[in-house]
This record gives sequence, structure tokens and C-alpha cells, in this order.
Amino acid sequence: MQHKKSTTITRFLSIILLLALSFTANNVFAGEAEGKVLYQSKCQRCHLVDKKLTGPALQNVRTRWADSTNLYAWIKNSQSFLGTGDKYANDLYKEYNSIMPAFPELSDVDVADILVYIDAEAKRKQDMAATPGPGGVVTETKKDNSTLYWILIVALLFIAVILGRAVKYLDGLVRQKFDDPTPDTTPFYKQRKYRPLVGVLALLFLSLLSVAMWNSATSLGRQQGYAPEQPIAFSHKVHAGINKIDCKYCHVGAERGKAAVIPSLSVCMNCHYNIQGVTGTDPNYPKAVYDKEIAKIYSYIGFNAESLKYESEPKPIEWTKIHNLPDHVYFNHSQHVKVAGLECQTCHGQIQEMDVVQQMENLSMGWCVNCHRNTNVNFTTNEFYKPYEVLHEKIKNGEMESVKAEDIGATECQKCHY
Amino acid sequence: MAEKKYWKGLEELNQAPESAQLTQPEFGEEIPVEFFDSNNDGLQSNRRDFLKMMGFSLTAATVAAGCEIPVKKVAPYIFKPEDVIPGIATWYASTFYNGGDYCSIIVKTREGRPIKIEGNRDSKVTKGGTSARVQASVLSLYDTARLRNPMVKGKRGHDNASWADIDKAIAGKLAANPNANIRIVSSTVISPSTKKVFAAFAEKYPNTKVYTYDALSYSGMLMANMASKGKSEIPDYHFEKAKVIVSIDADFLGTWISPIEFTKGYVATRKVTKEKPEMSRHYHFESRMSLTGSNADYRVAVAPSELGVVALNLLDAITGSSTAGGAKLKDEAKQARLKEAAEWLKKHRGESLVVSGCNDENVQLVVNAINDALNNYGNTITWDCANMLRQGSDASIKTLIGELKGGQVNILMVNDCNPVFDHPMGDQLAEAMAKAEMSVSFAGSMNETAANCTYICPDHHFLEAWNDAEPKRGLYSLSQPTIKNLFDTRQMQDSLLTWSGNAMTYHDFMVQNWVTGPLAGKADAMGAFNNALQIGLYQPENGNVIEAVVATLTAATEMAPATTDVSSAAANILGMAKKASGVEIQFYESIAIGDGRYADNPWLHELPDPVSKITWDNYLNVSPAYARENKIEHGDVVTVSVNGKEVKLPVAIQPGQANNTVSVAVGYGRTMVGRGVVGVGVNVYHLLDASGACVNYMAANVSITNTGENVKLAQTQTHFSLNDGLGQRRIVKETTLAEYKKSPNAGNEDRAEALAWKDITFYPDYFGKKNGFNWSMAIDLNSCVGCGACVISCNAENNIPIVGKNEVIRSREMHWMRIDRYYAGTEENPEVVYQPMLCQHCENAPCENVCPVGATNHSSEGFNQMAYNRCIGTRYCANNCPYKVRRFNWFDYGGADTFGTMNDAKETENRGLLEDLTRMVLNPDVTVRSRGVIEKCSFCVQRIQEAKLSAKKDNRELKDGEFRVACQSACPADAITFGNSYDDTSAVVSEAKDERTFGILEEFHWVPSIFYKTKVRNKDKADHKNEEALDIMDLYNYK
Repeated sequence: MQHKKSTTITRFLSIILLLALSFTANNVFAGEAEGKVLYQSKCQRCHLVDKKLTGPALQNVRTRWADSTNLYAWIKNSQSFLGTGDKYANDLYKEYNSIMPAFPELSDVDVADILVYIDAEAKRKQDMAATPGPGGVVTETKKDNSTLYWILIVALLFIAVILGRAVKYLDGLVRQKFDDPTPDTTPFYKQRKYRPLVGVLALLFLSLLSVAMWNSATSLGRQQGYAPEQPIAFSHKVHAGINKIDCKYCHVGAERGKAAVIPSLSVCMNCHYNIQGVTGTDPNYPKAVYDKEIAKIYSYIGFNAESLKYESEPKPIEWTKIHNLPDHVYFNHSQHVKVAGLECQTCHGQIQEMDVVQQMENLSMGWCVNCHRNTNVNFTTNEFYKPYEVLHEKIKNGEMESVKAEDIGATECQKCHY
Repeated sequence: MAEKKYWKGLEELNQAPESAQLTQPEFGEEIPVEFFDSNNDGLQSNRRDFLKMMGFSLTAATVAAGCEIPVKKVAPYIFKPEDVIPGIATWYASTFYNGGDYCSIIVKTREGRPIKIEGNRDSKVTKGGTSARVQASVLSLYDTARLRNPMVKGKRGHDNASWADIDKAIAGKLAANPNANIRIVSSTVISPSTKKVFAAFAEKYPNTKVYTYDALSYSGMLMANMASKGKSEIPDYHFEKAKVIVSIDADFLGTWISPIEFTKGYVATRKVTKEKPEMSRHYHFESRMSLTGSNADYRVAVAPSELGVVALNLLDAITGSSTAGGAKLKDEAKQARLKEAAEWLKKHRGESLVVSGCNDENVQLVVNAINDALNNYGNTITWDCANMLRQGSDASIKTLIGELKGGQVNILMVNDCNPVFDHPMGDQLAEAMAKAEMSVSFAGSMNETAANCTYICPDHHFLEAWNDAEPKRGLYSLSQPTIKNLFDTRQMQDSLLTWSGNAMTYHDFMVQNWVTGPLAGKADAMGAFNNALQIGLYQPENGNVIEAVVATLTAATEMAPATTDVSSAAANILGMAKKASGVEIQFYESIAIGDGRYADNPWLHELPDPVSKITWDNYLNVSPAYARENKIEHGDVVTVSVNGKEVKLPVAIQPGQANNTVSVAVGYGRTMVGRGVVGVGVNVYHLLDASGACVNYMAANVSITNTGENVKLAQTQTHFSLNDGLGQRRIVKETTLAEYKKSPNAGNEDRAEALAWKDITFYPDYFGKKNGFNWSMAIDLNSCVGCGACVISCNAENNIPIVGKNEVIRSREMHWMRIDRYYAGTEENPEVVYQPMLCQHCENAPCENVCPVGATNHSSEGFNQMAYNRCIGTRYCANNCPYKVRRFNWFDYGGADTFGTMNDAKETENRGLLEDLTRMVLNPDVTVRSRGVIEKCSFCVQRIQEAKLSAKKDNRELKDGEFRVACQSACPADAITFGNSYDDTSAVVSEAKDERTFGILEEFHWVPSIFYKTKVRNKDKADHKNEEALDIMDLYNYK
């Protein structure tokens, strides 16, 4: 290891020390934790350790740079380093055609920490590749057993019929033997004494039928619990729950318009340009399965994850719509999210815990109206409600404590039907 | 004072038995119980079977519907455009221009689809007004009959082709012979950049000539202006400055040159207030009852041949000359009225206006002389911003036919016109076109001329295209695409640029034209262009003119006036008048269909003609007296023989039609338009006489013979009568200016009585307490001219279906808003009142409390609200509605039903909204109603809710005038005011306080939320006495 220019002894020593430490044990990379934090905040946006992105893959970066002083200078301010005419640096610039931002805030120690982290991470990746893992979770194929059940039922019924006939035959034989009189064959429900019972049963049956009809009629077109399979196994839990991405980052319409808006593919690519695979270690989200789901985004948008270019013809994703309102209902997200300040969860349930989204509420008119009856309006804070002079007067007088949505007409037909 | 009697149709005036029926409940048919109860012959099932079947089908339907809920898919954008948020409208400023009709517009798009057009209020020309045609043009974008790709003529009709093939063929032909004789025939082009494209093409192919012609010609006026003013142009008319207007058959509120602009100006002079009790006086001379004539203070019915005599008499009375040579109107009273008009004109020199719609150079010359004598040039008529909307010359087509016949034309190109259909010599043209080596049409959908062309290179719809426009000199507007072209079409200009070897797109060409032309001096020319594009307008104060007029395109060269002498014109006029005998006919442009270019638009077909209220047809207007004398009934089919040619037409008896004259609208009878609108009416263009210098829209010696056949006309005039059959209800109120000056509540004196119970209400919780909002509308009957723009605007905004001719005959039209037209006075020359009628949103609504399921009820904001999904179709509400504004869906017009279309064959003639393409015009914020429910005006609640929401989001109060309801924003006359009646500062409250304000049938205490303002006519008492023949009070008093 040669140093053309050594500015301070401490710098030299610290590097030596760190390097020495780094070779002492596989899992002891001093400064790795600090390096990881820095790496995530400074580098991760454009670099992966084992793969090209906006910038080159960072593994073996130290072996590629013959002179570590140059490497440090390059990392801290690549643009000014390019000015030195270094061939390797200029080749890099040509290859990737983008300038890495300058990081004047990084000290040499910081850079060293980052490099340590990169080495450690590279080694981990190498180890993983060397020892083949369990190969992800074997996807469970659900067998459809219903045919078997039906065969079983038919067989059992058949046996029951045969047994019944056998019993009858044997019964006849017994009667013949003991010379019993033939019993009254009038079915019991035609006998006089059973008539009240039959009446009651019939009434009961009719009532049950009516109840069933009422229920099925009112639930006509309702889909509570509906959780269809989607073209991409997108998990709200991963995004909104674990990674705490704000709902409105993707659902941009929620505060502005009628529809909350299913995000366009380009919104997915804001993150998934870089996040090309599962990075966490949660066994619920095996890499082998979910990497493929992420890859589906690329195939839809026509993105080549190797060359990082949009190469093929994009095609839209056809998601299955879960929350459906009939055509004669007008619903506006912004009224509820922006004006009323409701949480998404109020209507959509604990969405941040759902891997597969399902419709939590029945979205019936009764459900809407109940909420409109019970929910307070931001009556005094929003200037819009100023013209409701009578209600303001009542609040002043203490006649009313708060104004519910219903009080300003939120349960009237033409608020939602027009 | 005898009560003035109003009537909607002659059957009502004459108390015919049909009219008694009309005042019966709307859905009052008896159910034929016995018929269903018995096992009649020919009826296969009786009532019990019917019930069984109904039970079965109900169960089946429940099972079918309940088993599976359809899976709905939703596809988000791949890359979301920055300015598009699904659910929020994006607006683009653009320009409507279609064969002489101009309007500066803004276009509402939702998720990339244009769905509604509004006027651009920044325009100095149209000032935010629109017309029915402009409003309906958004539907034509989604016309299923549009051509989807270029076509080439094959053995049987036209075959599909690709642009590459077409370009190869046409460019190849041009390259082979660059000196070929090329003729481009076009309707008036007002786009400076398009003119430059033509010029560039002509530069490349030097033997190119551009022939401009207008199907409905203003040639006579252009020639007269050339002769007496040295300008082959139409001047800038300032109706807003005129205190006296005399129109000699110029329908300037309906069809004449620039009706939106003129309506704005005209109505500005007709708005009377207590502070300014003044209005213009309008005399109108015409033979047929036109929209403008029906709005005049004094309308005089004269024969077409007398129009020139009227002009000469006016001139004589004003200048003291004697050009008329003693010729007079036959009727004394009419002659007296003419004298009176001249007196008024003389009193208002420099602030009066005389206009004429005659396509006759002679009459126009006399009119110019009158305006000269009145010192109107420079005051109410100016040339700085000359009108560019009509530049066509009648000579052009005749020259073209001659050239074609002589084999002097190699290539013919047809742009934005249809001369085979709409020129009197169309059949000759069609024949002669075959002699050209190649003919190219740019028609966007098949028409009669395109069918004769070798190649059809379909142009974009104007909502898909880039363009600029110069409707008046120095005032520009721009067009931009509001949607990517739906089909494989190409803009005409792009085609011409391609063929002239220019690699530029028309967009680039146009931008270059602008940044190197009028915007060249600006620091940031491109920025200035983008600003102009954003507002759709470029209206420099000092008149920055694009020099783009091509010599071959218009003969608009200025020269010294040849003559101001009218003696030869007078001789011609008098000669014509003398020759005219027998029955005279006039051909006119209808408000909706125009020259025939709007015949592909079902919205416009179903728009009732403002005066006759007839839809889906053209017809021969005859006067009631003529009909009586010749024993012709309404709807009789007659053979009309004009200029030696015959045509069969149904008769409409039209009050106000001058006696011994008839009239018929051109533009109908298109044979090559889309399904559903083909063959509506009869083409009469070939009856016109084109032998003179100008096409003559009048003819004499017409013979009319009754064929004995009778057809039903789809006339809405007596549908939905508000009257009690006695004509005693005061539905419209009017007064004269003289009375109004004396007392601002003239004609409205009985209102105090009507308001006697004004505080009694069904809804004490809301009524009169200033809590939030209470929506209210005011309609000024003095401003409303009855044009019908609001009706079509309402159609577009509220997804209102069209129903077709047969259903209109059964009075099943679905319009939420109609314009009731009332006549008063004699059938010879009645006065007319227009009254827009829509749901009055009564505070004590009679419809609400008869609904058995509560589907229609009252809201705290004063809406009479309608929940379609709750409606079971009893129609009790419609029967109980005093205003007859509720409409019932007899069929699944909108395609809303679960089981697809459950309709029978009757309805397929107008599939309309059942087509996927046409459904793109639907407003996604308004429910598409299903079969069997009642619907009606909702006060555009979707617009109110949208405005309220945006105020809430901004944490501010809703401002008065922040939004406009659809009818209000469409109105070119600003007749409608809408707002919150709880807000004392709102415009609608100040309207409501006016002494002229009244509510219709207020005395019944339904408390309508719509106020009307009394109509004021600029008449004075003396006039009535002067003229017994025109006095309306006593002659037809049936009481």
C-alpha cells in the first residue's frame, strides 16, 4: 500500500487500523454499523453492492481503485476529481453518464466506514450465493378437494338407500313371521293430530325463507370481505405497515379529487428503480417469491433491470377493483380525507396490516348514513361553514355542542345521488 | 283592460278538441283492465298468466343478478400526466369554427375525454356566449359515422387505405405534373396559418387556385360592399351601440353571420332597469317567422319580393329621394309601420343600424345607402375589425363546374364543404367531378361530395386539431387538441404540407407563423405564444395583423368605391317585385342544422326549432289563412313546385308567416350521414336559382298541390301545457317600455296578491331561515331570445338522451329544460314570448308529497331532489307537477340497465348512448338513468357540490358567481342568474327584489325557486291604437 501524499498521521493510522481490523475476523468489521447508516443515506439511492444501478456495483471498489487517496477524493467530490484527468474516473463518467453528487460533509473516517460496510455486505452476498439456501418457500398448491367430497356423499347416500331397503325387507320378514297387522301407512303429516305441528313448521319455514330473502336482497351487490387475487401480490402491510410509507404518497388523489387513484406504474418505479429485490429478512416475505413480484412491475412497464433502461412497450396493470360503489352514488375522497380529515382506516380498515386487501365495510347506504349522523363537522374552524348562521347562533347559545354532518344536510339524497 | 291571451299553438287558439286533452294530466291514461282480464282473441295470455310470468321473471332476474357480482377491473396510468388527476376536470382554451360559425371556447376534459364546451369569457368577439351548435359539437367528436382511416375509391364504394399509400398516390401524381391545374374548393377559411399552408402549396404547384364558397351565401353583401365601399368584406356591426335597429330579413340572433356576438350586443341594449329605463327599438320586416323577428318590438310580415321595396321606402323616407317610384307595401298599416321605422331611424342618426339578410346585391346596396344617410358608418358599423366569417363567392362553384366540364382541372380538392349536396347545381358538379383526373376530399365523415372523390383523407375533428383563427380582423384565437385523434385521421393542413414536400407538422408551421409573425417583436415570442394558447386568444389592443391573406383565396382587395348611386339597384328591385306573382317561397337556414353540416348531430335534430317547435324534420311553413283557403291541414304532404322543380314536403301551419308566402329550411335530407340521422327531412337546395350573380334564396310563382297524404310532425309546442285550457293563467307577464317608465312593476301588479301566503310552508325548519344555502335562479324574459343554447348545454352536462322522432311525437322527449314559446294576438302576426321552463324547485313542491316511495323530496338547500334509484316509476309526481318538467324514461336510452338493452326495435333507430364511442361524451359526475325512472333538472347539483368542495378545501366561503350552472353559462344573452338566495349580496337576490320579478303560478303558493322578470316591449300605447290590424287584444278574445 503506497501513499503519494499523506496529509495527517491520524488519517493514515486510522485507515491502517481499520483495514487491519477488517481482516482480523469475518464478522468483525469495525465501523460497519456507522458505515451502514451512512451508506443508506448517501449511497443507496444510486448504488447497489452487487449490481449496477445509476452508478456501478460497489463490491471490490477498493481493488478497482489502485490508489485509495484517489478513491477518497473521488467519493467526496467526484466532479473536481474528474478535473485531474484521471483515466479510470473519466471512463466511469463516460460509462454511466452521470455525476455523483459531492459529499463535503463526509470525513475520511466516514468514507472508511462506508467502505467497510460495503466489504462486509459484499462478503455476505458472496456467502449466500455459495451456500444454496432453502430456495425460498415452496409455494403451497391448494388442492381442490370438493370433487372427492361429492363422490363420498353420493356413495354414502347409495349405501344409506340400500341399508334402508334391507331394513324394510327384514322388518317385513319379522312381521310375516309373527303375523303382525300391517301398520297404518298414512304419512304422519297427513294425520289430524299432527296438523298444528305442520302448521307451525310451515310458518317457521316461511319466516326463515323471508329472512333469508331479505338478507340476500339487501346484500345484493355488496361485497364485504371481498379480497380478490391481484395481478401483483402487492402487500400494503409491507409498504404502509412495515416501511411506513404514507398512504397519500401513492394515492395522490385522496386529498385532491374524487378518486384516491391507484398509483401509476411510474410511482412504483420511484422506489423500485432501486429496490429491485427483497432486502429484509422477514420469513413471511421470502425473497424467492417476492423478487418475482417486483419483477412483474418491470415487465409491465418495460424496464430492463440489468441495463436500467425502459426498453419494451409498457402495458397497464389491470387491477381488480375491490371497493365498488354503484353508478348512482357520488363519492369524493377529498371531501372525506382533506375536508373532514378522516383517516383512511375509518373506511378501509387496518389496511397497513393487510397483505391482501379486503373490503372491510359493507359500503351500504346505512353504513354511510350512520357515519354522517355521528361525525362532527369542522364547523367553527372552516370558513366555508360561515353562512350557516342559525347553527352558529345555536352553538353560541349553547343549544348545540357540535354540528354533525347530518345537521348541514349530509343525509339528504342529493348529497350523494345526482 | 282585457286580459291578454296567450297560446302555444293554433289548436289551442282555436279551442280544437286536441288542445283540451293537452291540459289533462300528463300520464293520465286509463289502464285497460277488461282487456287484460278476458281471454281475448289474439291475446294469448290473460291477467293471471301475466302475473305468473311476472313472478317467474322477477325470481329469475333476482337469481341471475344475485348469483355473481361482476368483477370490475381498473387500470391506472403507466406514466400519469402531471396535469391530470382522475376525477378532476382539466380545461383547455380552444376555438370552435365550423363553416362560418365561430365561437371562442373552453373545453372541459375528464380523464382525457372532452365532455363539455363553455364559452370563453375573455373573448372580445363572443364574450363567453355559445350557441346550440357550439354546445352540440362535442357530440360530433364521438360520432360513430366518422371515418376511421383514409379511403380510396374502389369498384364498389370506397376501400380502406393507409396514409402511406395515399401519400404515395397523391404526392406521386403531383410530382409527375407540378404544373397540373389544381383547384381547392373550400368554405370560408379564417385561419391565417391555414391560408399560409394554401399559399405554400400554391407556390409549389403554381397552377393551384383556391375557390371559397359558402353554402349559405353572403355574396350579395360582399359584392355590394365592394361596389359602394370598395371592400369585399363584411363590416363590424355594433348592435350594442344601436338605439334603433331595423332588420330586413336578417336573422341576426339566429343565423346571420355571427349570432352569438350579435345576441350579446343586442341584449345589452335590451336590459332595462329602474335606473336606466331605456332600450333599443327593433323593427323587423320578413316573410317567415324567424327567431329574430319573433323578438322584435314591431314585426311586419311582408312577401320576400317586397323586402327590396321596404329598403327603398326607408331610403326615400330618410333622404327624401324617390327611388321607390311610388312602390309601396300593399297593406296600409304595414306601410304606416314602415314610415314609423324611418322616423325613428331619422331621430337616431349615428346610433341606429339597418341590416338585411337578402343575398341580393341590389338590396344590400340600398341598405348601405341607408346606413350612409344615417351616418351609421364609423359609429355602429366600422371596418377596423371587419368580420372575416363569410368570404365565399357564388361565382366560384359555377366557374369550377365550367372548368371541370371543359377538362381544365387535373386535381380537385374539397375542404370543409359539401357542394354536391348544398349547391343548387350539385348534381352537375357531381357529374363534372368525374372529369378531374383525381379528386381528394378532406371530409371527416362521409358526405355526398366525398362519395364522388377518388381519395378521402379524413381531417381531424376540431377538438383534436391545432389551428388559429381570425374571426375579425386583428382579433385572433387559437385551437389546441383536447384529445389525441381517436381514429387514423390527419389534419388537412398536415396533408397539404406533406404533399407540398414540407417536412414540418402543421403545429410547427403554425407556431413558426406566430413567433416570426405577430409575436416577432416580443422579447419572448415563444412564451407569448404559449400565453396566447393558454387563454386561447390573442387580442392586441392596437390590432397587430398577421399578413397572411392569399390573393387567390379571397378577392379582398381594396379599391375605390365604384358607386354610391342606387338608381340601377332600385330599378332591379322594382323589376323583381313587379315580376313576382302568385305564392312566394323563401329558403332559410334553420337554427340547429345550418347549411346541413350539423345534420349528423342528433342533439341538434331533437332541439325544437325556437319558433315552430318542430324537431327532426324540415317542412313547408304556410300561413294559417293560406291553409284555410286551400284546405291544407297541419302535416299534409304537399308537392311544391319551384323554378320548374318539384319536391314533396309536409306542411306546418305557422302563425306569422306572411300570407301567400311559404318557407322551408335547407340543409335537411342528407343521404350520407350516420345511422339514425340519415334521411331526416327533404333536400331543397336544388330548388334554388343559381343562374344570377348570387344564389337566390327566394322564388315566386310557386305551385302547391296537396297529395292527400298526412304525416305527423314531431312538434313539441303544445306538449306539457301549463295552461288550464282557458288561457287565463298568467304564465308570462309583459309590459311596454312606456308603462314600465311610469311604474316599474307594470304588468306585474298582481304579484302582491299572489304572495299573500308567502310565509306558509311545509318545511318550517328551513324556510326563510338564513342557514347555509338556498339555491335560486332568475331568468330575465326580456333578455332571453329563445335560441336554445341552454337546452343543448343541459343535454351535454346532464347526460340527457335523445329519443328520436317517433318518441317525440308521443311527447316523450327527455329535455330537462325546454323553451316554451307563447304567441299572443292574431295568427297573422302574433307577438312572441319565450320562456325557459325547467324544474322550479318549489319550496312547497306538489310532486314531493305524492311520491309513494319518497324518491323525490326536499333538501335543506332548497333542492327538489330526485333519487333515481329509489324511483319505481309511478309517475304520480309528473302528473302532479304544475310545470310539467318531469321526464319519464320509457326505454333504456342511456344503457344503464343491468341486462343490457331491454328495448324493442322502436328504439334502435336512436341507439345513441348505447354505443361505446358515443358514451365517451357522458359526464361521469351525473348518473345515467335507467329505464322506468323519472328525471328532471337538478339545478346542476354536481357543479354546486364541486364548487362547495373546492371552497371547503381552501378553507374559505363560497363566493357568489364562483360557478355557473350549465344553462346559465351557455346563454349568449346572460338571461340567467343563479346563486344563493340566503346571501343578501348575491346577484340573484338583487334580481329577486326587482319589481319586474314574478314566479310562475305563484298564486298557488308552490313557492318556486325560479324567478322570471317581466318582458318589456319597446312599444308605446299609441302604437296599439294606430294599428287595429295588428292589435292583439280584442280580435281573438274567446272569453
